[in-house]
Amino acid sequence: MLLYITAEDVLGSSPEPRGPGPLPGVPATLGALYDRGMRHHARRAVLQCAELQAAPDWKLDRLVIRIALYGREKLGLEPGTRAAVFGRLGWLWPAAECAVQGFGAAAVGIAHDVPDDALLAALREAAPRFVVATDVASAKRLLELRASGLGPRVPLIAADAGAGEVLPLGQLLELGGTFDTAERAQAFRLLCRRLDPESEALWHVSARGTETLSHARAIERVALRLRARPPERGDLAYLQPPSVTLASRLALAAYVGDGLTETALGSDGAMGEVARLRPHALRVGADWLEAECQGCAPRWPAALGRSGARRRLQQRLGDRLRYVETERRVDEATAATVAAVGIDLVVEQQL
Amino acid sequence: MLQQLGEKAWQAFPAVNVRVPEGASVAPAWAPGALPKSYERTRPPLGYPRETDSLCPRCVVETRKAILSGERALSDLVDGHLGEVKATLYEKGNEVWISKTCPDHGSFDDILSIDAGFSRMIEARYPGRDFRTLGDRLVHRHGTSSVRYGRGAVLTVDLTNRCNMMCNPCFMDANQVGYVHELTFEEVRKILDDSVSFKPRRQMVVQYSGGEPTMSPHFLEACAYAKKVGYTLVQAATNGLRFAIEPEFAYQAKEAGLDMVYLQFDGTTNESNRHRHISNLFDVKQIAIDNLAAAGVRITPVVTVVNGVNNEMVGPIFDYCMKNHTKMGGPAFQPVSFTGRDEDVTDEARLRQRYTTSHLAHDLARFYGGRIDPLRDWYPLGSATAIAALTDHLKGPEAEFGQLSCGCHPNCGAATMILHNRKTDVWAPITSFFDLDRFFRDLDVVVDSARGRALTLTQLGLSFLRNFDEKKAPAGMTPMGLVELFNGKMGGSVTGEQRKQESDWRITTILSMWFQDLWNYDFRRTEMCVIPYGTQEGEISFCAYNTGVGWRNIIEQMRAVATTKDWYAQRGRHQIYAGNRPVALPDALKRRLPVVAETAAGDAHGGGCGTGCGCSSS
Repeated sequence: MLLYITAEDVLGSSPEPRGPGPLPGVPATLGALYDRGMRHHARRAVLQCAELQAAPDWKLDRLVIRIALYGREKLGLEPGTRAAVFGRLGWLWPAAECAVQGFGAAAVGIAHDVPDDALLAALREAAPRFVVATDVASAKRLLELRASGLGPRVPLIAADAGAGEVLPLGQLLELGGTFDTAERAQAFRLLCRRLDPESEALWHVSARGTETLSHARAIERVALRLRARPPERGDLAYLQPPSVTLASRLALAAYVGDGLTETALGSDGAMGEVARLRPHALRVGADWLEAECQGCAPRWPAALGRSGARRRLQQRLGDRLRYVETERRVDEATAATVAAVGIDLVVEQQL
Repeated sequence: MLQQLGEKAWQAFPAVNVRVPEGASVAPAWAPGALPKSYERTRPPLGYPRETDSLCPRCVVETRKAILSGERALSDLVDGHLGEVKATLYEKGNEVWISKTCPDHGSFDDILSIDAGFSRMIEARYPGRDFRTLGDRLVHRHGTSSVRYGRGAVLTVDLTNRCNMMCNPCFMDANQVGYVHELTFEEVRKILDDSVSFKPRRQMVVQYSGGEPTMSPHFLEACAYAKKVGYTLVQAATNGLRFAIEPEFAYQAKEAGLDMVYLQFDGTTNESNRHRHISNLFDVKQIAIDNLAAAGVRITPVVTVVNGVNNEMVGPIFDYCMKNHTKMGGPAFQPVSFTGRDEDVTDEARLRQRYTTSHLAHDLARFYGGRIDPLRDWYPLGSATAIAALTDHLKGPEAEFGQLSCGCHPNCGAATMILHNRKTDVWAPITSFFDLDRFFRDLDVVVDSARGRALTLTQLGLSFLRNFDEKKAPAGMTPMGLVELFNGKMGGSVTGEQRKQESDWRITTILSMWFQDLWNYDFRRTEMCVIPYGTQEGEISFCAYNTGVGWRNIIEQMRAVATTKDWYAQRGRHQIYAGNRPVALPDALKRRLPVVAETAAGDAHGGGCGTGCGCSSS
């Protein structure tokens, strides 16, 4: 009769969904943190960006698994090896980084504004199995270096592959999708959970040099973050870094892994979206914050001026902001404005 | 008392209906015209004996080969009547048989029912067809196999013909046809977009199938896209292995939009699943059920019933469903259809293994000592047309989509509704205390008179009262309780809202979905199909796709993406569970990633993929 086709569920009762939730504590490795974030989460999307819109956890997870499986099957990624991620902090960055780290390899992160000589030196030293370029300009730069005979000829993966020796991400994901069977996906997750905390987790290459962290060291810093600023249901962090930094990478790992925070990956200058998104946390350039805070300072002393300042700042940054992170100290006026309206200002060196 | 009051009050309405002319039926935007009155609905020829259009099982195989080899054009199939013969359905003793004679290949006979009275009763309860389709030339273009009626119930989309099992029976011959047919995500999108392009506006249930649909790399995206298009219920027909092995996949599928799985389920012991060639298959199914239920995905166990193989399990399976009602709904039994790799069945084996809806009704009656009565409790799936008509009437002309209406041919399937108390475990067929025949007739009167909402609901309430026999109803069940349950099933159309179900009672169903094969094929059934396949070549009746002249073979070969050998060479092998070996359960999964074979080296050793997974090299 009708019953198996009616909308309610004609085919009998079903249990209430038992929604996963965040778990206390911080696991011992970045891989386990990622895995837990994917399994126990309570958020509509893990990433928000122009390319993916609101990407739910399952979408990021499948991206990660497929990159990892392709890396293993076709590009020689193995535990103890390295793979590089180069460019700006876009959606591909966390996908590639989590895939590499989850598999027991080290993710060599290279900021897009690293000079050529530092970039080449890092690639020579790290000897990555492949490089993921997170934006078109970075892919082009690597190809130019390669054409000039300077760049190493490691496989280069890019989302918007132009001409040249680039493996288009779409092609990788197509084959990675075929590799993505229950058995292999589950085995990847088991590897994520069982990484050695003392194994190498990441390199960070910037204009200031190269820093390396084991999983244990990286997770210490992540744990500090989570303890200092515990996530809450409904949190949304907005990242608009002028350059990828070690702190922004660890912040992203924490947001993905905490199971609660949605991360909006903004672009330079697209600041109208901040007020619209109403983030609880901002990670922005100091210059930008200084510019946004201009004209927002309290115009009256003490408590009298705070409400006006708060209103003006909320018009620009939303009304849920709990803290702002920047990569350097901001000027005194900006610091005073932010402090006056009760927003924590965190400078990268303190992270 | 209430019944008598309802009866008295109901009698007032005929007087009103005589004096006040019928209202005009609403003409919703989703429909090709005004909702038909009950007496305007058309019916296919029914009763015995009768003649119909069928297929010669031998000519069809030859025709299919000729088309696939290029000897004949596909247009011959669309424009012609290849392999078609007349067939007669007739009573022989208390049985119903089909007989047909091909001038080239002789006579073919098969049994349609072991109880002619049951079959006559099922056909008598058929209320008539749904709308003829309109503006569907792009999707329904398959000659005599085209779907011509109805809004459909479920659109089936095969995402891939790859599978991780090697079952027998398998109506698509998964893993054995020598090629891989797998939809790209763009193709899935087009199929779903096309499906809402004509009137009556589409069934809003999509079922991803295969092969094993969870092996498609686009499965999760396809679930998400179906929701985006507006499908209210997204299903997957699955063997459940992926959900057992990878619990996270169940959660992810739920997040992506999967509402329900049609879970392959052949019995409640490992032994009764042995014909699927996995030694611990029932253990695996239970893990899948736990994982899916935990993730909030509803489960309908789907049982292919083969006479002499697992027909003794139909009662225990329903018992299992009742005991596990917090995790799963009632079973959907699918009497075997000899197609795919079973098309070569011998006549002797076919007649021995043949199972029909009438077999099911009698097996359940025997198992439950007559509590489920074949003649009282079974209705054709299409009988729900009366309820759909009421819902459409109540929703009015502004409704964006029509109520789901499973108006298929009465020979395509039947069901019985069981009222079950979650706490006391008391159960009874609804028709043991509720006069459903008269209720459906009342609904026709209510909808045909086309009164306003208040009067419609008043009549509906009175009909509930007069058809509800309190003396026979299970203790604690009241007419209002039944109204609430029906309201839930009708998406809240009666009260205008769907309240959270708090009752101890629930309605569960036992379904029989009897798909055709070449021996019992009836074109009057295919043209009314409500569960068509959405393909790269339009929407095709379920049976025309899997059986008939074999549209599945033709389309999949036309649109194959690789030979199986090339696929394995380029993309590696996937794990296939077969050979009567067990599936490693989750806590025993290997700690290393299984190797993806880069070459066909495994073939040389005949040992499959080399991971010890049990896959075969063929």
